Amino acid sequence: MAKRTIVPFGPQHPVLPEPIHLDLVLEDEMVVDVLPSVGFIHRGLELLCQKKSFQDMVFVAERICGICSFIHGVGYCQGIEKVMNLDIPKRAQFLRVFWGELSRVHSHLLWLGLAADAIGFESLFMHSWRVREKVLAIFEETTGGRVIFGAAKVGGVRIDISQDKLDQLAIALDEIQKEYEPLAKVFLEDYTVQHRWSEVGYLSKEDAHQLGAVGPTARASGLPQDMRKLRYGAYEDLEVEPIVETAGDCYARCVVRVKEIYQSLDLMRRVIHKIPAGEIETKVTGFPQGEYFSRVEQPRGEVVYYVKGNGTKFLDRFRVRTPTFANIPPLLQMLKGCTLADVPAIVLSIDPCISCTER
Amino acid sequence: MSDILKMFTTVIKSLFKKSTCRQYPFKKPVFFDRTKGHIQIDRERCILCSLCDKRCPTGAINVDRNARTWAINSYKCILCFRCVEVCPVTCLAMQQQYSAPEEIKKSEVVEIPAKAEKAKA
Amino acid sequence: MNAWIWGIVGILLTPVVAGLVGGIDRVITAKMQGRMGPPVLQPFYDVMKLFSKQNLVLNRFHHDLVICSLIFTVAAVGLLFAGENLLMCIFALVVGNVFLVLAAYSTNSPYSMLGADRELLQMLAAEPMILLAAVGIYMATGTFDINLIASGTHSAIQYLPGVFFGLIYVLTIKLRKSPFDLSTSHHAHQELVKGLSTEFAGPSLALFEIIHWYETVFVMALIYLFFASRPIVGIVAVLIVYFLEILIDNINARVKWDLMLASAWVITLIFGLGNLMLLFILK
Repeated sequence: MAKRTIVPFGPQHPVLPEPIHLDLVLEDEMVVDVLPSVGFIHRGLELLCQKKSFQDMVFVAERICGICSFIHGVGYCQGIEKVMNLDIPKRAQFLRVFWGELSRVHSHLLWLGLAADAIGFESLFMHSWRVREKVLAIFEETTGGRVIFGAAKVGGVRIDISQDKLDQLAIALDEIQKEYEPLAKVFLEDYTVQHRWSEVGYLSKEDAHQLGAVGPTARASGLPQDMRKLRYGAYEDLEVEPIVETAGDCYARCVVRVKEIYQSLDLMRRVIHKIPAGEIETKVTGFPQGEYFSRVEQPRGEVVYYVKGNGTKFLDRFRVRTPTFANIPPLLQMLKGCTLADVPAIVLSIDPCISCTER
Repeated sequence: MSDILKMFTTVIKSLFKKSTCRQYPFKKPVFFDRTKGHIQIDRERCILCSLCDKRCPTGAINVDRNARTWAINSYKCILCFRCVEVCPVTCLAMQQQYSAPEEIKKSEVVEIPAKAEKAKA
Repeated sequence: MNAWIWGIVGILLTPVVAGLVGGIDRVITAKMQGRMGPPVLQPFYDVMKLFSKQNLVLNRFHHDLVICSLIFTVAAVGLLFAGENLLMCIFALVVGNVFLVLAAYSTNSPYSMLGADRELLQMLAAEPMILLAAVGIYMATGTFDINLIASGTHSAIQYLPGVFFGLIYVLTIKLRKSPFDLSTSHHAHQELVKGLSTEFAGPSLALFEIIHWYETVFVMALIYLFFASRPIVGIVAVLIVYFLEILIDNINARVKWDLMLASAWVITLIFGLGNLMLLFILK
């Protein structure tokens, strides 16, 4: 048996934008065991519900993550709305789907860029982010924010998009798709990309199920799991078929995300086509009493919001289970048996969002 | 062989295209209607109701009725439009120019003129 | 006496030329990626700033080994410009490289050690081809003496197209560009953080950059030797080859070391050795 050494990976590692610490137990260059530790940027957001009114908590919920912020806000609002039995206007729900899917495109493009950078493909990285910039411009145009919009509120959305604007956005979406296509081709067909990712970080379907993988990580291992199939909000009227790959390696996870961008762009077109006219919010009276588990699909997977109201302005409990948190056990499974040089690529392949994980 | 040339056309095309960099602050960025820059107050219209103070989710706005001042800490402000929405006399507005960098984090204090002065003016 | 002057001129001019080439490289790369890119003089600013920083040396060998590496690399370039023996220049460069690897090994950091391992693999992949190129030039021109090669009447390229191709292939390794920037790359990070140069800081890192400048000029001069009888063609060829390298850098991801080693040796065998065999039989 080779000598075992422990190499610390993170919390400060140039490959990782965020702090997570992994103790990699190595035999020569082979990883045989991994011990994770999280908690470097715990912000105690869940306790804030006792200090902020349930309506102000939306802003806090949005700030759990800087990339999928809008969907965090929506998940929280949805929980409160179910507790209060509020009926949300259709238009608001469609707008939520629109921004939500646009967030997914933005998040996946960001991930594709980072992943390309991790394998030393700098030009692909820059071009992915160039396309992402156009998505951010749409955000800024419609909500005023590039990353955190403050568009969701309990009872609906705060901003409407006029029909003219929606038609313009449809054209902008086509442009984004046109610019994205050659890049998608590189991710799907380029030799060096496949060379780096295929058969790296394998996760079997059984492991994915047992260890509770969510989102693209689960779908790349052949689990057709997508919370949008629960038909929450406007997904009631929009059919979504989860994109599933069976290979279970880093490359499959990349392919799932590449294809999901097309799916999201398509969904947004359908939203623009189908969106009904009408109000964008319902009036909220009273305070939430009761509890609810709200599950929504984020770019990284399923996020669970637990809210419990006690009939006052402040919530009793507010709990978030973010997708990265669920994906860490599968990550540890993937890392066993890989070489040290593959660790960053595999860690990145679950699209880790440590700020989400630690709240 | 063509497998390793997938990026070729994109790279060559962008070699002859203009770069996508926007050189802020040397060149003025494109602002949209809703671009979040900074909150500005119309001091003539303010009635010191302090609703914005109460509703601000981060406590960035501070209204002092006795000293007749309205203060905003732009480092706490998250530009959420909440104060703009709640202001009963619509004296608060979102300006599109981003706030300038500063060396010390401090509040910007605006003195609100008294009603009598307003009448005179 | 003349040789001395040429050698010193070469040593002095190399940082200027290589720095400028590096700056232009960065602008072109940026353009290819749709960015603005830094000013052309950025490599000089970088190195000057690095020199002004504190030198964090991990042990007493670390910095000295880097200086040894610099001395041998500079000597290699000096000898090349002085018109000495080509083989000697190549071996001086290799010795310089080995010192760099030793410097990285001396730090005990896992990333640096892995980077050093990979640097050795890179040398293993690239050096056979470079040696074959020297042998090829000898077979084509009948001498290892650079003075005679450069003043010869016919260029080596007409006898050695295969060797030339193989040299371009391993040039990617020597210039530390994708897909073969395994040990350390020009970019902010890679899977081994910064690989070979992870533990170099401040002046040490500046020396590392300068060593790389000398290396760049050395391999470019090697390319030029193939066209030595026609200087203009030679310079144009060097520029084209460098542009090609930038292009390759931008359309490839970094590959794993086994593919690099295997492909480099296959190319060396087929194009390098095959070319030489043909030349041997036909001449």
